[in-house]
Amino acid sequence: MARAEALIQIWSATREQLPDLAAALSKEQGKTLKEAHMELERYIGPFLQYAGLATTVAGRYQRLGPEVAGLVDRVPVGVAVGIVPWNFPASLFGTKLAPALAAGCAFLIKPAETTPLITLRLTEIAQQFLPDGLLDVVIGGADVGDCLVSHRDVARIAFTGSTAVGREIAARAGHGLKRVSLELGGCDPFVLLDDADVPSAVRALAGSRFYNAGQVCVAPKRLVVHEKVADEALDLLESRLGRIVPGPGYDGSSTMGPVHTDRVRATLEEQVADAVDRGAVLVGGGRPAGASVEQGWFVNPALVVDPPPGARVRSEETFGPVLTVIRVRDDEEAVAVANETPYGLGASVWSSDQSRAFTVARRVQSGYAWVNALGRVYDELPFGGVKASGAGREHGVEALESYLEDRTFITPVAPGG
Amino acid sequence: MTELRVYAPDDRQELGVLPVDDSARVDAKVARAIRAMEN
Repeated sequence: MARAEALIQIWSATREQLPDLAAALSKEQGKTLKEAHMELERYIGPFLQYAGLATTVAGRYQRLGPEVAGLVDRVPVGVAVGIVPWNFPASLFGTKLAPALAAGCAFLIKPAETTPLITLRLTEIAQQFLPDGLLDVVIGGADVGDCLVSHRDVARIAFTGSTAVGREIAARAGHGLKRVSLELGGCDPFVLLDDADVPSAVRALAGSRFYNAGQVCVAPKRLVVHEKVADEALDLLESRLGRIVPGPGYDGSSTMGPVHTDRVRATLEEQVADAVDRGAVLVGGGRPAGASVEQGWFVNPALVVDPPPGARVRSEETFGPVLTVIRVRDDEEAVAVANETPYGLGASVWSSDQSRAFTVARRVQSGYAWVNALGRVYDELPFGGVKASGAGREHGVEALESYLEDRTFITPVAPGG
Repeated sequence: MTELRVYAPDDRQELGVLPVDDSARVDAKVARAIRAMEN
């Protein structure tokens, strides 16, 4: 019960400071204040959820014979390490920390090199309600991350980040036989079939794709659209693009902040240029002009239409406000295009025929799929990818289980006892 | 790297400078974590 109380206290104390924390997160990460507020709500949510689940952790007793019984105790797996990226430095911290604390684990968090400040503030709030040393922040780059992942006394690693780094962590964790969960990159397809409610689908698509300046691992990166409704979808998307206002996150008139670093912007621009060189049509794009945006890493949202096979945007993760649009002739081709990337994180399928939509969704390789639904990730359900998008699951009771170990004891009992 | 400089993405303003943990400090934090969990 003490764990549940601590989790509720963390939830409450953090919630009281949300406006200040949102301003700090917006400034450090670049997202708009509204997005920062939404992210911090996603940070605190798991503390309430796992406060409830913490009270459900229970072992079991089993009679094995007339004079022997077994006890199964559920114990924390040990010291857990969270390694989180810069796109959601708060919410991805909360989804790891809350279940770890509910299980009784100590937790060390290593933030990205570019977003340590919000992590320190959130940690300071949480530490007030935890035993000294149970939660701490480790600051540094890849070498510090290696040190943590390889440390003999670290038992559990929860990583969110790139597939390349995830592979390295999996290799090191495997050598130490540590438990690991990897939430990696994605190049999610948004499959729009010819009988779909196109305006509703485009509204959901645009909301997901351009949220957080497009820097979301689980977000539709490719619109895979039936040729019969492609032009209608493109017209609606172009109209939505025109309403996006890039600007500083603190400015209430901005609806999209900058991308996070110059490197992110450069990679995105290279991916778009590659597609255009190969014959794709670019709608929007480029950099915004004006005094308020000239110093930052701002980009305009863009559509990359009809890139041919082999174009980088068809298979790589585009981490910015760029949507790739690929026309297909039928469901068969839609599934083939949807599955052509190495990734398998999320997927969306839209059709007015729910049975048809589910049939397609089941054939698309992903760990999480939305069928005629808005692209929200729910804390209550397991989340993670297949293929190069990772292994293991976060959220839900599944995450709590991943921080627990079973220990079995056999003991004699008196006959009839 | 011994320190980390943090910049704002919207105007490149420096937001803070933090000392970087070395392996000895990581060891100390892990050891404290184990003690806290055991207690």
